[in-house]
Amino acid sequence: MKAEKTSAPGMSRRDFARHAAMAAATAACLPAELLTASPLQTPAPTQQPDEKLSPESQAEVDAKIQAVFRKYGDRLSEAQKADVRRVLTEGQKPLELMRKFPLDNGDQPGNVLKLYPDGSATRETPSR
Amino acid sequence: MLGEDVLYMPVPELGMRIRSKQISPVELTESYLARSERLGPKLNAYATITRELALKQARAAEKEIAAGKYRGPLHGIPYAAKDLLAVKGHPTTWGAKPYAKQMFDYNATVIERLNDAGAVLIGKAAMIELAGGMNYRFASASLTGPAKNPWNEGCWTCGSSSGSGAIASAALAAFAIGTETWGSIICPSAYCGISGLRPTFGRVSRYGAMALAYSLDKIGPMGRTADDCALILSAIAGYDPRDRSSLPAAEASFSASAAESSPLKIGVLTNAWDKPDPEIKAAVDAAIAVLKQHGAGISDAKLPEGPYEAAAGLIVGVEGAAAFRSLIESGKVGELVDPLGQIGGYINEQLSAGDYMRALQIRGIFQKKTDALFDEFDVLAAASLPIAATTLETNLETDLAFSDPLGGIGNLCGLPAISVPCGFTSKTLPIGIQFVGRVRNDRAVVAAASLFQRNTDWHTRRPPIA
Repeated sequence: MKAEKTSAPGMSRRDFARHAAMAAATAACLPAELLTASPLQTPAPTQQPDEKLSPESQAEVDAKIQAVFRKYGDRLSEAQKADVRRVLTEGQKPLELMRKFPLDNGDQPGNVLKLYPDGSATRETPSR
Repeated sequence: MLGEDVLYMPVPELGMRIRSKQISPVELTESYLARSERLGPKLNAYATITRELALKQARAAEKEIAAGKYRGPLHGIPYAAKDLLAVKGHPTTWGAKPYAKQMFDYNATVIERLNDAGAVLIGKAAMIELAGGMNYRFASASLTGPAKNPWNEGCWTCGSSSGSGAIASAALAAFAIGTETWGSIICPSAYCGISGLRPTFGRVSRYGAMALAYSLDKIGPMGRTADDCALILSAIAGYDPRDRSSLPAAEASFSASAAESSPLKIGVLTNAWDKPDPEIKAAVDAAIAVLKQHGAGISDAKLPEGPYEAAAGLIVGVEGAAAFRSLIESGKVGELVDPLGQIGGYINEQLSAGDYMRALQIRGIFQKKTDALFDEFDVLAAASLPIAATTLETNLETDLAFSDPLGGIGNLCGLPAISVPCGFTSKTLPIGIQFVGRVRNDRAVVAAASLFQRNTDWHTRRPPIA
């Protein structure tokens, strides 16, 4: 029998909301998900005191930052680079929160392979 | 030209007058076109007004109806479609400069279905660039500028169906089509004081619609009433083999006419929002009291706890980066208006396959947990948003720092939802209440909203725009 899955231990509702919200800052489509950052013109320090990353986490963030800069650095201004640093750093805690969620071998992902063709379809390739 | 009393009519009333020939589809279309051309630019509501197409469709509708071929309640009804739906021969900009000259040689399925219903397309509604898929910081994140709220032009409509919200609210058309990946129908509906329905994932085909997140994107109606939304949904819903996520025919189709047989059981969420504005809370509490007074069973409900917002955000990020890979890699993403949009794709490319799979597994777990909630309730209810419309200048990153668990879990799991107006703030900005239902039970969310609207008149209020 599977254990009941809950949110990360020791995570208050307020903490959870803040961290989850920051995760969504990497992918928002609603202002409610665009959170806790400073304007581009005045990049803020990347972490609040209570949100310091572990050395391992910081190393992961640094690697991601370097990957962006390596691939796209010549396109980015200094202000944009600061924003990239900030957003990636702020996104790390919620990512780790998600990783802490216990998953078992039998937890199938919430997506499916839909067989194609499905017997009723004729493929049409849209053109522009 | 027809006056506001007609232009603000719900779709069934317009349809009835068209059918009985009290209103001409051509006259109705010309009236909405004139209003759209006068007020649309003021609100930045449109990407394109399709005058010639609209008049051609209106004349065809008029001719058919005169000949006794009445297609149904949308026949001759003018509407606007979010500018991420392909319309043959007209620009489809996705709200973004890199796609400003994009044209398709086919219609999106939704457009085809509305054509079949005899509806009249009067324009392509403005939107947030790429529906916010690369992220955004300001309301101005659009090829057409910030969409202005008809209730207060210094305020935003919300996004990403920003123009659709303005158009429905200001009666520039009888209804509009919007899309939602996370919040993009519910939020503009709440901010603009209209009724907006986010259907169950897979009920409405996305063929011909811009993809943002393949496993989250939905298309839905935005209009005057919940019943309008149901009517429009019945026209656009249905199986489509060209959308891999389309529900089977028997599950995808939707009938607007079937009634709820038993009193609704409504779970009022106690943890949907951390700190709702007191005026919003009071309006939603009053709305719940109305529902209770009219027979609904009311009790408290609570969303499960877990990292589903983070999972939903991650899925949007990964799928969005895949959907716009060529834009990101080419550097054309730098042409987006919004400073956050210019770099969001680069950041989202760093999300890993392992984390994406984890997010999908979390989705599977929370689909079950959420579904179990609906063993007790037909719908869950909460404020659509904890605040009213924000100003056009608001920094969305710094000034809207709140979590959205209901939007997160609702979109992650593909649940249907509707937002309808339930009051106003002291600054006369609309307040919305949302009802969220079990997957495939779009009928329940419509039933709850319809019950509310039969016993209130918030949805009949008109913004002070002229």
